[in-house]
Amino acid sequence: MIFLLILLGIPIFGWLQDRQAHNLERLTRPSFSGFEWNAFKLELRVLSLRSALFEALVRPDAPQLLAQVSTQYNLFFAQISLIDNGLSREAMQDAPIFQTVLAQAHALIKQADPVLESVSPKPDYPAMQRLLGEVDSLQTNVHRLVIEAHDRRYLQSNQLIQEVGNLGNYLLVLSSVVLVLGIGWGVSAMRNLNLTLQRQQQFKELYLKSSFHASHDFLTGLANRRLLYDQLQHALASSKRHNAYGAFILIDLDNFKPINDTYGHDAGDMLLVEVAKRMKNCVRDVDTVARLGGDEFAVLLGQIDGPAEDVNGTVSMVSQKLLDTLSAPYLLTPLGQKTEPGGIRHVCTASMGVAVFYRDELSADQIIKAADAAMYRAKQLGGNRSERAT
Amino acid sequence: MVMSTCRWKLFSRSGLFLLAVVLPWLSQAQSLAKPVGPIILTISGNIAHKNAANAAVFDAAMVDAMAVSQIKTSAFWRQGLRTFTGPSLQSVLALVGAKGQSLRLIALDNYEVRVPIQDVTQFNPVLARKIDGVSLKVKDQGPLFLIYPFDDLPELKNEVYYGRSVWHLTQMVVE
Repeated sequence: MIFLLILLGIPIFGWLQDRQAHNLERLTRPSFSGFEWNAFKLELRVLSLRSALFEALVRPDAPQLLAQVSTQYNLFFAQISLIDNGLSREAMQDAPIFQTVLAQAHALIKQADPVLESVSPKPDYPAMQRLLGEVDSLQTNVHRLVIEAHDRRYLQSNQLIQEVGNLGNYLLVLSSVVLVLGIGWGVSAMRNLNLTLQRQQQFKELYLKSSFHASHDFLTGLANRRLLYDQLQHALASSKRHNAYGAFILIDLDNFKPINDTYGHDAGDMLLVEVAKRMKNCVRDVDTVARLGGDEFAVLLGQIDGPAEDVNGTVSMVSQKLLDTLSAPYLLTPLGQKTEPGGIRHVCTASMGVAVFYRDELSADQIIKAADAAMYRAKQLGGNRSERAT
Repeated sequence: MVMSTCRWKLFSRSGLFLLAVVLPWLSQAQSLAKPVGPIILTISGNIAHKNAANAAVFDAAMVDAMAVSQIKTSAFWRQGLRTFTGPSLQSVLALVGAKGQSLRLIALDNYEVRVPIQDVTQFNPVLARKIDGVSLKVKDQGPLFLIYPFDDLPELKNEVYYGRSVWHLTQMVVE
């Protein structure tokens, strides 16, 4: 949306600027200042001519005054031709007083040229007398012209000042628009940055959550099949690298189904969660406890510490610990209708199959199969026991 | 009788001979001729060569006799290009041996302006006697019109140099 504004704004500002420049150029052309000065000089010339003419007429005995008249007349002529041909007259072209003065001046020139252009030995005093009258009347009009020229020039000056002021305002508006746009851009950049950081954070969390969900059981938080399989592969590799023993224990709960049937799935779930907790407490942090589904669990003991002779002893100890903790009674307090006051008391034992592995003597699948067979044997033998795979 | 004639001849011959030797030397000190027609230019002030009391005066013939320069230019007083012909101000000042910092130019209508001497050497203005080949009278801004080369040096196109382009120029005072 902002881009649209900018796109519209550029031609508008361009047009405004062009108009400003045009106005300023019009107001600073020399014609506007030049004409007032020309009109003023013309008035001086007319006055000098008048006074020289008057002097010569009053003192006909002093012929040198005639030379003065001639000079003044020629100077007057020169000033008129300057105004006539000059570039500054366009400032006054449309003023009626200017046209009047020009017409009157040319008429005077026509009349005076034969008489005053050069000093003649026989001066024509009557003609000069008539000329004096003409000059007087021209002088009045020239004075009006000077006033008109001055007024116009003053007006133009004011307009110029205004235009320059407008230019200032225009620049102010332009710069504030640019400032606002700049601030807007800055703010959005900051927000973008913030959002980007936030999003990055969210993605990270999401990724971690996803990867957790993909590799762990939802109910108990234990590892799932996939993760367990990965961990088993790792354990085999590290067993090979470090010449260490590992153990894989499959666990199946005995008499778990009655809980679901009698007290509902909520109670069953609570029991499973408790089972998971107890199992985790028995093993090290580096060991993996997994839920394979339903009431089936697995424990992977990778890199069993201690010398080779002690491995069996350690494994037996761990499996016994597991059996004991799992066979302890459970006290469940589920929400819902089928509860008894004081909670549900249940005893749920486990059948375990243990497979010990060393290096890459067996593959992962073989280990699992062996542990499964051992567990089945344990189940057959009544449960609440642990059997070793052969 | 014969002897007196012989002595006069000898005397006059040697005198003439002496004059012939001395005259060029004398004329060099007084290189400015005396004006015949009406005076159109008066130069006074710090000048070396004068031909009148305290000034060097010129008539039209004297000015026209000087070597001419030319400037072709247009300006605000008239549309279009005009050719100004006349001696350059530099050559005129050299002729009168002017030494000073500035030049006061005075016109027929008592318009006065001061021009620094650097203008003369820097811009080489021309004291025009003819515009477009026509000799100037007072009626067309004559007898002398000092013109700067406005078209060649556009930086001169401002009020200062327009003011120094004096027409109806009649008097110069070297200060």
